[in-house]
Amino acid sequence: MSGYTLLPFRFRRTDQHDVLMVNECGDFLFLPEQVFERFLRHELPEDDGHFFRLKSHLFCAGEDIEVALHKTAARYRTRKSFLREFTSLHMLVVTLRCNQRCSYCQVSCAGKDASLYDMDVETALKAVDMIFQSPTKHPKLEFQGGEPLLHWEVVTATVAYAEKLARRLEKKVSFVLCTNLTAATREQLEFCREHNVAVSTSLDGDAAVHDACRKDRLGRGTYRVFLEKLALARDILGRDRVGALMTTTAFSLDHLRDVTDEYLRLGMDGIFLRSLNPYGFAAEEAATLGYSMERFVEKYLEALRYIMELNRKVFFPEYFATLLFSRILSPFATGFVDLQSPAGAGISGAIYDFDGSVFPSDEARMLARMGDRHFCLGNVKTDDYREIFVTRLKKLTFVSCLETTFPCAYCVYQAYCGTDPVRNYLETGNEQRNMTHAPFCIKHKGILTGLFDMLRHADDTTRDIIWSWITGNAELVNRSC
Amino acid sequence: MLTLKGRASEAFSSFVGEVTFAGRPFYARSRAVLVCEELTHAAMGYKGCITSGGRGSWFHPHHIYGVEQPGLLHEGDIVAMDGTGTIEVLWEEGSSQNCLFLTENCNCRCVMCPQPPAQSDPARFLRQAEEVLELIRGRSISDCCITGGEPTLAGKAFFDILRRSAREHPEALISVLTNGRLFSDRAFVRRLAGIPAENVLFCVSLHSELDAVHDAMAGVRGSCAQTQQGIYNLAGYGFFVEIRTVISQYNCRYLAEFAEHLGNYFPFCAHVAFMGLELHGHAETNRDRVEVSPEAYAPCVKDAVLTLVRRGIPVSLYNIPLCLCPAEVRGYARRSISDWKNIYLPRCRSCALREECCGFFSTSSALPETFIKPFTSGGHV
Repeated sequence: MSGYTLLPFRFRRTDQHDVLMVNECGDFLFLPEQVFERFLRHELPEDDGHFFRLKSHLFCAGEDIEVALHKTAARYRTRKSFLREFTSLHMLVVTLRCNQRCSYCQVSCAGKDASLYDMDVETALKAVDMIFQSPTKHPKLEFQGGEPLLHWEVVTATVAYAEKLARRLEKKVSFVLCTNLTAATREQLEFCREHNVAVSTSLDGDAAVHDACRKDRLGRGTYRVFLEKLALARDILGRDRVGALMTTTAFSLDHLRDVTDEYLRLGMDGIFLRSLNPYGFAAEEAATLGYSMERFVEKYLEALRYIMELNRKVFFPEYFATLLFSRILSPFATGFVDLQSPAGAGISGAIYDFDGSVFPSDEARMLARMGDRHFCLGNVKTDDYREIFVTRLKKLTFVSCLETTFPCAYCVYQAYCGTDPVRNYLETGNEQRNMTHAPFCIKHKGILTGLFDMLRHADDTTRDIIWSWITGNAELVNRSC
Repeated sequence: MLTLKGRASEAFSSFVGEVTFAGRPFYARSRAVLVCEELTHAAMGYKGCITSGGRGSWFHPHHIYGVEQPGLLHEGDIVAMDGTGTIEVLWEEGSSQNCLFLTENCNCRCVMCPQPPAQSDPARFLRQAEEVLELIRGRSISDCCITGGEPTLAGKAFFDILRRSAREHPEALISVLTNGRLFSDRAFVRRLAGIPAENVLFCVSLHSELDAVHDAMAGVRGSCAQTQQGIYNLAGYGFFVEIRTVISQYNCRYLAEFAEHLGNYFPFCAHVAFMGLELHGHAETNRDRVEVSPEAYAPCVKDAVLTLVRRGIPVSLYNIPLCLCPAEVRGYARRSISDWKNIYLPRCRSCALREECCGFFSTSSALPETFIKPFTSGGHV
């Protein structure tokens, strides 16, 4: 018996007769099965090449156990640092009104003239006061809807007030406007340029795919007018200040390649292949729009391999893979709300509804819109910061740690995954659930398995591509030929 | 260190002074050393003199005469001279490679050490370092390296000298070459409090994350863990840390995993340097245990460098001539060898990349001559 001590890790036997091992802080390696058995029985000789790898990736330690634990702790702390600088993302629903009526709308948006769904200026400023009480030094304000362009005076007033507060409190505030762009005027876009507001818009694919779901209130496609406004927005703000997101529906699931090509054709920086959320109108129309998570995983991975190939010629990241790769390969924390433990709800992001209600996530607000206010944390007009973000949020955080959830606690992907108590509640009536057959689990387990397969077989160029996505450094890939 | 030889005017004990060719007014001569062709009345009042000519008279200050190349000295250089006729250049004005040498002692016994530790009286080095600091006070310098031996063994003097250099020269980068072992002790590292961290870089030698490998190279069991703990403690005090790794037979095969380990567990490090061997001292004695052929290390070095580059960690290759670097990582090779011991082979004269190449150590007992191939402007000849 050798004198090494095992450090905490999780593992999964693969179909290729090896074992994927992931340690407590997210470092991983593949080990042949027989070597794994010997390692567990403390029979692996300490001059074996595999032993050196195990030791290098902190799966065991000898006399150096103190420094090994120190390293594990340091990386663990770094990965959980999103807890220290919370809450970074604050979404304001300035109105529920929208000039479009997309078939998958998660919010069940209201008619163009239903002004009772507008946030008034007083509420908006109260929300900003609360946002600036967050410990973070870099609050990000995101204007959502409905369509925020329809209630513009609240946007301008909020930006002005937030800029003033940021100066006084020495914080660095940034703004994002989530808009379908179709109602955008030159003056509004110029305001965005002057106040450094980034634009995040929606593009589902080419005309056929886009128009299949993204319709105006009369049911007509919006692709053509979207392209016109996109050009205008880029012209005024600059290309890099206008981003787009897509939502995969049954219409696009089999055409993700074409969607990718459309993004490339329009000169987008990259693409985020997102699955559909089962809320709002999408829940009502699940039969026509929906698909099984297994199929999404399959199609997603297929599209990802296509995008990888594209990247040998042009820098074009897929942002969900970027996020997962960076959770797998880098020691740093990622801000994405969905993949955190404890859940990012309320910690990585919070949302302020038009009436001042505060929710831990967009999904919680959608749930409220569907009639269940279970996750409402309070209201900016009646509650103070501590009540909302300390007392009530803590209750939610208690039930959203993977480390204490069965069977996630034993899952090899635990270090990379997250949980969503809101979605669990929607699906089962409980914030915690056995994730085994949950769509959330099927999606992440399936995609992570696909990504690890890519990593296992990655050549130098593939590695360069993956790291170029993580670091945003396009130069890493030699594209001279 | 550049050293000149001559004959001493008489037996005198070592002193430090500031070189002047131009001469100084009488009242400003007490810390200066005059360099001249012949000793005349103009040499009066200086702390010492250096001359290529003959011996002066009894009324001249202590001097060293018959020095062959006094032209190697510059106005403003700081030299130590002693009664054996030795002139050591402690500070070369305008150079970026200046060192404050604190001790010849070391608490490691590295198998590849080019300057094996010696049990010498540290007082002389410390006094010289203090005198250099005194003389460069107020000058604008770019770099200053605190080294040894293991400089931290100087204890209080080490902290004093570091504090003084960092405070008196905020414009300069003060680097400390150390094995970092002593910094694993919390009480020791606490003594850094109050030393400005913005312009200090700790260059810590770590040859592997595997204790079996590092300890075998450093010659001390447990040093791997101590060095790594030291790095964490230094970073915890807000200091920049560079990791220096000597490429040898011991760690060559594991360099890529080592680089990955650095990316995973030392992502804060400011710079990583992989260094070729200087076949001198212990490295020469242990040559068959340490030396790796360029063919063997090239792929390992390539993987290690690319691993760090991908992660955005700055990386350099020191002491590896360009024709021995794999093409993918040639851009990371630096001219790293101090001028005074830097040579090239005769065939290097025709090389298109000679100006960017580090060349060789004149101190190395053997060079990998068969692998050296000059570049034409396109590629290999």
